[in-house]
Amino acid sequence: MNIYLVVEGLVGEKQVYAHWVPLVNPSLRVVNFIDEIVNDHLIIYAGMGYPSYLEMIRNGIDDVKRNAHIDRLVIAVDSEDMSCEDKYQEIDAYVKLCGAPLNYRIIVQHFCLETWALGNQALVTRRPSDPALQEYRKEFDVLGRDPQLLPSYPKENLNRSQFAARYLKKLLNEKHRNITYSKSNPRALLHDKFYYSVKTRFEKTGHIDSFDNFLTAFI
Amino acid sequence: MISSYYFKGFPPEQWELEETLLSNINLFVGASGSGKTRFLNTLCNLSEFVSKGEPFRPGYWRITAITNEHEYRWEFQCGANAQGSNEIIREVLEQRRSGSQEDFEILIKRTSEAFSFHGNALPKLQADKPGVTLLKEEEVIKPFYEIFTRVHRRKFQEEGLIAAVSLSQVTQEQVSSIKSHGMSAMWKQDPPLSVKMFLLKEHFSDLYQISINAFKQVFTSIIDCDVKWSKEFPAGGQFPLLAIKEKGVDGWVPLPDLSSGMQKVLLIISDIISLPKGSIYIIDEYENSLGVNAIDFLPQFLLDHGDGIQFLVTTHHPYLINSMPMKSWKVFHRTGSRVMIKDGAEFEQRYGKSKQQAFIQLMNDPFYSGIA
Repeated sequence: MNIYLVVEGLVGEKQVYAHWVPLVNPSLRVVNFIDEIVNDHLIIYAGMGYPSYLEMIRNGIDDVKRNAHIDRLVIAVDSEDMSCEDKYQEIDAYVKLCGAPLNYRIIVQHFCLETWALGNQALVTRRPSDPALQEYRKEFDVLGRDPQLLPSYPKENLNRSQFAARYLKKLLNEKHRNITYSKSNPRALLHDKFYYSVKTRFEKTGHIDSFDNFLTAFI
Repeated sequence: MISSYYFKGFPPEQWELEETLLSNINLFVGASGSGKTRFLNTLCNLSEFVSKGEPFRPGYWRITAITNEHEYRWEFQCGANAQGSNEIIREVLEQRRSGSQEDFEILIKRTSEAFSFHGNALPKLQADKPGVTLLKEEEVIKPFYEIFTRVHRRKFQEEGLIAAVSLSQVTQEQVSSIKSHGMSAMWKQDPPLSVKMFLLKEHFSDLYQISINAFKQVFTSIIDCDVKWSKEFPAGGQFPLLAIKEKGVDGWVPLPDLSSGMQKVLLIISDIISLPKGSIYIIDEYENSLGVNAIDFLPQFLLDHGDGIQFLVTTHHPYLINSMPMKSWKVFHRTGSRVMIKDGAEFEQRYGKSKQQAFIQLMNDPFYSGIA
């Protein structure tokens, strides 16, 4: 099976998908160009955060229709301030408007990729030394509570997506002094163990349930 | 026009810029830190060294250039000698023999020990000046030398812009020099924008009108644009001052009070309109802090008014990248101190197979992003 994936975010999000998808479906290999797609290949286009994301989806639909050997289109988006359902409906309606290919899947990262990453319980230090992180955990402890329920953090003027990213960065800094995280450099997430920790969290607790779409979209 | 360019620096700056073929319009694209500005710096340093005798950085250059009638090859190496002072270590200038595809005639051959012109040994000449400069009055060398006198780099950052919109008098000397030598004299003086517009209006009225019309097309709120005198404004004095009238705004607004976007656009329009043929014009990240309306005119403007001028334009802007033909792209990729530069034509066929915008495909290309 050949899959054409469109992700909304920066090159970092593309890197995470390129690492994690073959862990979901080990037969898939990532290629860089559409003319390299032959068998069991995955091509990923990142929107780089530019506002033309819907146009990218439309162009992706055209590419899939024009290339008979591409079997499925997968679209990954953040729900951000919307509900998971509303975001799914919005993208689904657009895909249908563009003349959807027969086989497509939509992954709504509720509410962003970092929310899933916060599901990695191995990241959480029991007694963090960073006072800001202590505050974050008091406000919302991602160790026990579903990261998808993370609220905004008005104290630092952060919406929930920004809070998730800041929280993740603090957790990583606390655990590994020399590892940082940013949307363009997600090196810390590019480890098999990280992916499996997130998957275990979903499977054992039912938290981060939007991750289920990720697990099924590539099989 | 410079048709190919190679540079290798010497310690402590051991950058290597792979050989690049250049055309009339060259859009330099690449991630931040990929070597685009470094490329421009080496070219500008070399030009100032050749044409103005500015201090040079040690390095090795291999350049081919085409003038109206000739093609030249120049190999040039300079660096510190045993005594620690800078000097020319090696220099070879060749000119293609007319009617020949392969055969080049050696014009200048020079090492630390020997110097010849047309095969004739010359006496010892200044060791810290290139032969191209020392022999610039020779008919056969002059066209090649002049390429370096016509490299213009416009700085759109703060200080560059402040200088461009400053007030300045028009001197009699400026006027007479422009009358007798035309645009080249204007570029030698590089007067502030208001003075330049005044001189265009007085002496090249057709070019002045083209500039004003183009400016008004970009900013449709402008209903009139003219060169006034500063005494009509609070600034006072007797300086020419470009001013505009906008819809819904009372009175004339002088150049220094315009938005930086408007200033930049007028600057670039008047530059391109007034550049003498054979110029090399460098635009480094022009789009910074500009709205899309102030960016999207540029590709067509270069095509319409850039005849006979070579452009080197660096950009990260999706609109510029998407709207320039891929064959004008030069895509930069740096590994350590080595900069690889691929021609856009190499990407054309591959990118043509996807409907994704060229810009999106470029951003996702491992050669651009460095991430496979």
